[in-house]
Amino acid sequence: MSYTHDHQATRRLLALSLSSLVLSASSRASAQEMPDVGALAGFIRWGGVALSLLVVLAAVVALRVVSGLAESLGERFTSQRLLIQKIESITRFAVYVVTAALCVGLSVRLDATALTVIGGALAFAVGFAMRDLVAAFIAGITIMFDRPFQVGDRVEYGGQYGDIIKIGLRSVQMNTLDHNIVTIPNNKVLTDVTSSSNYGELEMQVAMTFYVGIDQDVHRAREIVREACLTSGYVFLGSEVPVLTKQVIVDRYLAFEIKARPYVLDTKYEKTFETDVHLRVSEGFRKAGIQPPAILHRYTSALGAYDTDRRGA
Amino acid sequence: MTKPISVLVALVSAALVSGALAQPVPSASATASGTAAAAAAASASAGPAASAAPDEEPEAPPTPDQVAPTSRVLELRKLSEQIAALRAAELDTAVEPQSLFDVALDDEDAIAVEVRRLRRVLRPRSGASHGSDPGASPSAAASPSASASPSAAVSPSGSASAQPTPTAAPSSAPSEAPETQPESAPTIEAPSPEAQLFEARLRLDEARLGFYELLRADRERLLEQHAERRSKDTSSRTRQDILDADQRAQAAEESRLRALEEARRAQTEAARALAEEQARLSGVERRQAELEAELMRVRERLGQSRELTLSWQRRVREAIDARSSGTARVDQVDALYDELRGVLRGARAELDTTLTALSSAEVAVPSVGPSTLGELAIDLDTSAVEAKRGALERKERELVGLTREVQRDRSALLLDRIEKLNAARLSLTPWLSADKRDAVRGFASPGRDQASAELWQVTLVMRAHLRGVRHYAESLARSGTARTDAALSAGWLLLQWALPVVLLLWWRRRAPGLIEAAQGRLLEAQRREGALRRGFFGHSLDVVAKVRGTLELALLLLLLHRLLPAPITSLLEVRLAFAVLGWSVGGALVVRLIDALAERGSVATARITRMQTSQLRFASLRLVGRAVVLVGSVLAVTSRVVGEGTIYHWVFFLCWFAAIPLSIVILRWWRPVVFELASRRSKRSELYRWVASKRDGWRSLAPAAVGGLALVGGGLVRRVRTWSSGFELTQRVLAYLFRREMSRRGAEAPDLGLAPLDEARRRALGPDHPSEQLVRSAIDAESDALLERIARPGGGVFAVVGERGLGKSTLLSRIRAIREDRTIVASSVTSLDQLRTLLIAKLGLPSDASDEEIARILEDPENEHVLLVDDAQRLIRPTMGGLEEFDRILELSRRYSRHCVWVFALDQVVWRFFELARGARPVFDDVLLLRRWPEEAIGRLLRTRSKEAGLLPSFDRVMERLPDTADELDVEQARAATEAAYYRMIWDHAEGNPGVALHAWSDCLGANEAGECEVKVFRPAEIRELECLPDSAVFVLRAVVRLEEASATEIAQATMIPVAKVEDALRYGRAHGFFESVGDRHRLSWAWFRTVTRFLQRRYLLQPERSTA
Repeated sequence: MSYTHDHQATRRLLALSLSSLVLSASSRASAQEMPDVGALAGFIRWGGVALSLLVVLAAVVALRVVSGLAESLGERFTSQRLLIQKIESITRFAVYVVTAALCVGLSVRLDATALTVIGGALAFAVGFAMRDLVAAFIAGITIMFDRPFQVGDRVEYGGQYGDIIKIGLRSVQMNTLDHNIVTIPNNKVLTDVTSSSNYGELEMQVAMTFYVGIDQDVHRAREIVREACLTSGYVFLGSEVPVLTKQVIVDRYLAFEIKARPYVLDTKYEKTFETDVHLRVSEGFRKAGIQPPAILHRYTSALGAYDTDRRGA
Repeated sequence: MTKPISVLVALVSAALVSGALAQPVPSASATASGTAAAAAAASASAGPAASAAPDEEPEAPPTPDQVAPTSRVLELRKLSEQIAALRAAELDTAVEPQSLFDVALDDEDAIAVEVRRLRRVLRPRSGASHGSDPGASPSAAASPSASASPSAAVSPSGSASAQPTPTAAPSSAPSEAPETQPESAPTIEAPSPEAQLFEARLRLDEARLGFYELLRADRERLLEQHAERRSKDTSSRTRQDILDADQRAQAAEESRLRALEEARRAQTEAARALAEEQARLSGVERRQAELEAELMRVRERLGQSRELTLSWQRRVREAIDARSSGTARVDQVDALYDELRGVLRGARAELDTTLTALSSAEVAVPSVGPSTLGELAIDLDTSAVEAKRGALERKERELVGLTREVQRDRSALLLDRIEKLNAARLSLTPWLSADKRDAVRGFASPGRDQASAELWQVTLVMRAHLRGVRHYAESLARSGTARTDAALSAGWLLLQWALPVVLLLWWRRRAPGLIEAAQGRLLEAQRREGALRRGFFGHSLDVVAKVRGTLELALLLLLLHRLLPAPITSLLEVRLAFAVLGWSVGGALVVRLIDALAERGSVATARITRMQTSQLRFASLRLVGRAVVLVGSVLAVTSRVVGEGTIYHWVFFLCWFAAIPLSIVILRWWRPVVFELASRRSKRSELYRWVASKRDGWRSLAPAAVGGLALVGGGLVRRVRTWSSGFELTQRVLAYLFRREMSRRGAEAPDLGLAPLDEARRRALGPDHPSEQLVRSAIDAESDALLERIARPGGGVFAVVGERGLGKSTLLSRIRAIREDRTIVASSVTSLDQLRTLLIAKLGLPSDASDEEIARILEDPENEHVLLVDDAQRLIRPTMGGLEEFDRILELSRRYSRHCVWVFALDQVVWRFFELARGARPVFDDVLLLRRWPEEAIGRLLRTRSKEAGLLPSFDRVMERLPDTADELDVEQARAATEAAYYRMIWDHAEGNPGVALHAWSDCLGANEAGECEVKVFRPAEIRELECLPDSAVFVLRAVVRLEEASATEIAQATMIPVAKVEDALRYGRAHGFFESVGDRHRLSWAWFRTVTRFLQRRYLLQPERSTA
């Protein structure tokens, strides 16, 4: 995974630098005309172009170092993992921008004429070739500041659910729970609805629903659910654990729905937490003799008689 | 300006009068209504009640000895007419407009208040006069001039009954208010004098209201028009007076010639002598008339000369505008400046002459002289001559007065002129050419010339003001009324000043006691909190106690100044006096303040040098302070008298040179101290060695200066370091740096030759060993409160919550000491049955005793028991059903806690689980959350426990290497610094947990070959070893922390991890020292406790404490 990210970063940097060079090689044409490439040779510093390659190389190394450091620190300091990832994203963005600026500054003699030419070429390029790229780049900056989600958040987007692992120049990458990497263009993220479960926090609420028969001791069931949540090793004890109950119809059976909303202490334990709590609840229900809703609970149609029977017993 | 005290007297008199607002003033023109506020107040006081009791008013029953109503009416009518004339720009120029009104015409706020008052007063009348009820009650008519004269509030008829009302009365005065005449004629044919008076007052108020209601610009225009007419009139009168005087001179000359002719024709010697005397007197008369004419001309010229000042101010303004806009050349400004200086010099010379003339005792007025007829026996009639002589003598006296008056006017005018022209000159200075400006402000000839001119002006201003004071004194001596006014005014001012003075005296008597009490309270609070250092408030209080006297004086001065009326504070004399006083008192305050703040540092210096430096420091500060006050006072005085001119710049420039002699003097005083300190530091630094070697001769001053600067700089650095070390972040950074240094030294020199401490001494130092001596910590105040609560009669259920090692058991032992014989300690029970068994055994009950029997003894009101449940966290298992045992015991405690105190000591780790599962507050009466200890407390604990264990650890092994030349003092200082840093490092490692700190400390000690205790390099457990653990092992680790002491089965239940995996993890942990076994159970070892908790916190598996020390 890390190799893939670095490789992508290298490619992105190269593309950015080449784009800069292409832009700098554009003529003083207007946006509607093809640039006169030959006339631009005078603006280019060929020595600077060579130096730019070194800058790109240094940037690639810097990005690898930053990624490695962030990964290592994130593992050691789990409590600060999201902050570390956030800093990594910003740093990576800054490296991109600084590298591009350095490449342009080193490769092109920037004077008024050159700026005019580049402006025209930029308009041309943006208009015809790089429109999507620029849109995604600007959207990436917007995501950085608007922050609909952050790196490390558990997000739902377009039917996909997983952790945001990178906010890049062009796209956002998500690692789904079944370990598929989903790439979403930045401009899409900005226009579509996204849902972040933890929004920059490590802990996250995990809603879990349990059903018991309408004739069962719902109070005891509720206590068992609460206790199962609190005794789980993955529960975050910094927040309350609300457990709500209501009567519902599940598959034509009248039942009690018991919904717990505990917080898991780390998003990466979400499913483990669910499993743990369900196992505990199941064990607790078994010990307490609490049954799920089923057709065998025929007392549901005669609740009063059932109550009478129980009181009598 | 020339009559400062007279202004003071006038102002204080006004204040006196306005202070006596409630006093009735007989005149309707209301001379007493000094302010509109006073008017409003008086108006408010006059009302129906006043109308209903007219006999209380002074004017209500007209009596012969009062002012006749007719003349009063005429007077009021005249005032009304004059106001009307003012509005028509036809007022007699002899009348001052201000005399027609109650309130100051330049006070818009007062006018606004007066307008509202008059409208309110006149509204009923206008309603009545236009309205339907001519017989409105007198009270409704109100008094028109209630503010000016409460007496006016009375109805003119003097009664509120069926007498003609004020509104009805004017109807019978055809010339006054025909439009207000009611349709039904009153029964009285002619208006009574009271009605006339009342009507006249109404008219006057209406006229005043009309004027007040004009726009401000219109009012000012009318007043300016009047002033202009008055000026013209005065000028024409003066010219007329000059003409009259010239004519009198001419007539006197003719008379003299006629007398001489008569003398020549006289037939007798007596007649000739008489005629000659007549001629001589006529000659004196002529000269007197000529002098009078001359004085008139001078006065006329004085009026015109104001124009000269104004024209110069205009020229300077125009020159500055032109120069700033670039339309004028700089040489033009230079030329204008020179020209202005010439005019200014002339004005100064003229003022000098005038002041000299004023100071001289003689006035050059033609004197009548002795009579030449006195020795002659003349039978002729000399009555005409004698009469003339008498008239001339009177005239002579008049002329002396007139001459003095003209001289004073001239002096005031010239003083005003030189001040204004000097201000104009100074405003022009920035626009001069650079050369010119430098020359004017420099020390060359132009600068010296300018400085002498400014000095001359200072002299003249002082002389003029002294002259004014003398004249005022003379006027007081002449006039009894003035003396009375002055005495009253001064008395009133002194009365105002007496309040703050009395307050100050009261405060001075009580301040020492109050401050001492406050210091005592702060010390007590500090002791309770166990703080080693004094807090901000404590230091502030110490400083205030030291500067109190000067601070009180400064505040008193400020208050006295604030109590002075604004016009008085603007007087030059007052401004100068307060400037000098302000500099003096302010300087003294600053000196005392710096001295008080620096006093703490001197303690250390004195300890090192064995020299008392406080007196030296104060003397130095006082010397510098006096120099600064002197310079500041001179600058303040010069800037106020002649502005920021050449003298100001000279003083400002030269004052810096005063630093040289001051520095030399101070260096000489401090030289011994500097050399003493430098010699003590000479082994550490080349600089100090050099300083210490140059202590002899006059050349020692420079090294002393260098050494002094180095010492002051070092002291400042130490202060900053000390201050910053109070912050936890700084403490942690310092601890981290020291730990790194330790690691480096440990790598360089391993702890060779050191054996571990013997087990007995290790145990004595360990966290589980009870201590005889209590070390105070940050939580002591709350602990004391809980102890006090438990000591009171009655039961309760309490919880003490804290991390392992934070002192829960120590606190329980303190609780136990309260009722030693009736306290039961249940430690490490894991079920209700165990507790019940324990209680039965302790209470001596049969083994099958019921809960009720146990409770009967526990709840005995005569023998209240305390039940302490230590390690109560073992009753709580974070597993399904893990709270059942604790719930049962809590149920028992709730039932039997009327006279029995239950105290549960719980670990912080399970507390949050318990809180969420059961909620804390309804269960326990009070919960004491133990906090982590601060650095100082941990240091004290380690010292105390080492002492108790009979250990005197040596830090030599971990000290930095000192140079060979280091002496005992250096070694001592280095040892103290290392010890402090070491304790800080342990505090940082333990994160304020005393148990962890004690264990770490016992690990840090070793015994050398001689059996002496030495401190070795601190090597805490490495978190690195935990980072490589798999998740399952980490969760086992976490379960052990949460369960505090658990078996593999319990851990498996809590984590849902298979038992086999749990056992593997436990075995690994035991092998690495993470866990220690207690039977078949496991608990975290003290050595790994903090490392494990820190690791779990990093992994977010353990939430840190919400409140730390």
